[in-house]
Amino acid sequence: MIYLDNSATSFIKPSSVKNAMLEAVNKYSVNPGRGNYKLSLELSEKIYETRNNISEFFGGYGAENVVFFASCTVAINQVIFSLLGDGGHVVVSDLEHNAVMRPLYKLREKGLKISFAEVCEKDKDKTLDNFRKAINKDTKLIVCTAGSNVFGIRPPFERIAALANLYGIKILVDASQAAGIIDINMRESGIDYLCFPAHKGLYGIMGLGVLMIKEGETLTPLVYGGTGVESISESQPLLPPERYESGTLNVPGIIALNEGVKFVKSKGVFRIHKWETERLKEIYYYLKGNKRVKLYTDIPDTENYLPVLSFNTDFPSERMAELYGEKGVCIRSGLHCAPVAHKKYGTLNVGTVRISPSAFTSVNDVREFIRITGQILKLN
Amino acid sequence: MKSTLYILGSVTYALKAKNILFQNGIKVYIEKVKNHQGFGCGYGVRVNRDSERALSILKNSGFKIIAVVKENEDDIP
Repeated sequence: MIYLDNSATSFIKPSSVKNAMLEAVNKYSVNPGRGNYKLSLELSEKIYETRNNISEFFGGYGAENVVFFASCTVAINQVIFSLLGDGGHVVVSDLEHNAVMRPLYKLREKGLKISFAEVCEKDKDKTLDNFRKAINKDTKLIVCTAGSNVFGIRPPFERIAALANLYGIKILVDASQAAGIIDINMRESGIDYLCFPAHKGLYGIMGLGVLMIKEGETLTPLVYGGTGVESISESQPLLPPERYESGTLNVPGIIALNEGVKFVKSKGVFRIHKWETERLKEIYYYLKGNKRVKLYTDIPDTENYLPVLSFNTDFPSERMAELYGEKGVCIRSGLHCAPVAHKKYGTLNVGTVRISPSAFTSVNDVREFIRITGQILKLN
Repeated sequence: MKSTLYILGSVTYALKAKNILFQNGIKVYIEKVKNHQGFGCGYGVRVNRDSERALSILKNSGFKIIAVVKENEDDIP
């Protein structure tokens, strides 16, 4: 099997991640932050260590400001519903995923105003200017992806964060595709809220999302319930992370994520990004030479793109996915839950074929993918 | 010898306090707190020595200390 759908979920996991999962189930099937027996406290320490490692890796504001959710989507919803529940104005990039757009559309029914800022491929100055022009006196929040899940384009989110800071507007960065691929430092960049899932570039497992919060930021919880502390109170605790973490945590996911972060740290994001981009470049050059293939973006590089590539052929994208599937190649087709990005590139009605390597994608995987693509394109 | 229990918001803050105090050469034990003064469940750090210095470090590090319970070691269940 050749797996090139890593921007959906990374398929091959480091053995340390798999071992951590097993350890969590075999040794730590207890509740953290609730019990006073040794095992519960030991597990609480492991979770704290994970929060701490994540905070250090992303230049965050300490372990207590690293919050775990069931997914990155829930983390995004947490920020959006808390900050924009009373309406106002939000600026978003024109590359956002439905995890961002659908909560915003829901709040638009209650009066929220949404402005799109055009992200100009490889033109960071123009992109920044578009964000600046979209801000108005009612703007409460800027939401920006750190990289498109369809076209891989990287908006200059650090500069956009600086712009938000200048205007006193909060910024949420969706690093779903970028976490583990590029260097992100919350403090240095002035990011208020950073979120990402465990199961993509950080090589953890699905069912876990992370929200990192700037110190002192307080949100209205999205979910209410048991937190293991202040149980007599009718209200949620005031302090993070427990304020937002009602219910038992995804212990196997958290312990596995700790190992995933360590793995990425040991390899280095720059090396991973470079490796994946080189693999993608080989595919890009091959596709570019084929008259039946339409590409939407320029040659992949690490400065302007994440290692995600979309293309189309004269087969519908869904048919291409079927044909690849029959030959043991896993890729993604369709809209990738990001219709806004497709509208920008005129692919809303057809979708795209999307390929995304991982740190485990080999040179041979790429050669085989190219060979199979050649076979498929001769069919028609 | 008297021991002091500093009750903090949650196990996360208790662990953070433990790390900071350890870095300052103060050994502490994490305890789950009973229903102290109607507060409900929670966690704290117990300090057997240097309790005043520990308190100062915790305050300077920005911890919200919910309660301080001083007791003799003999009283600890």
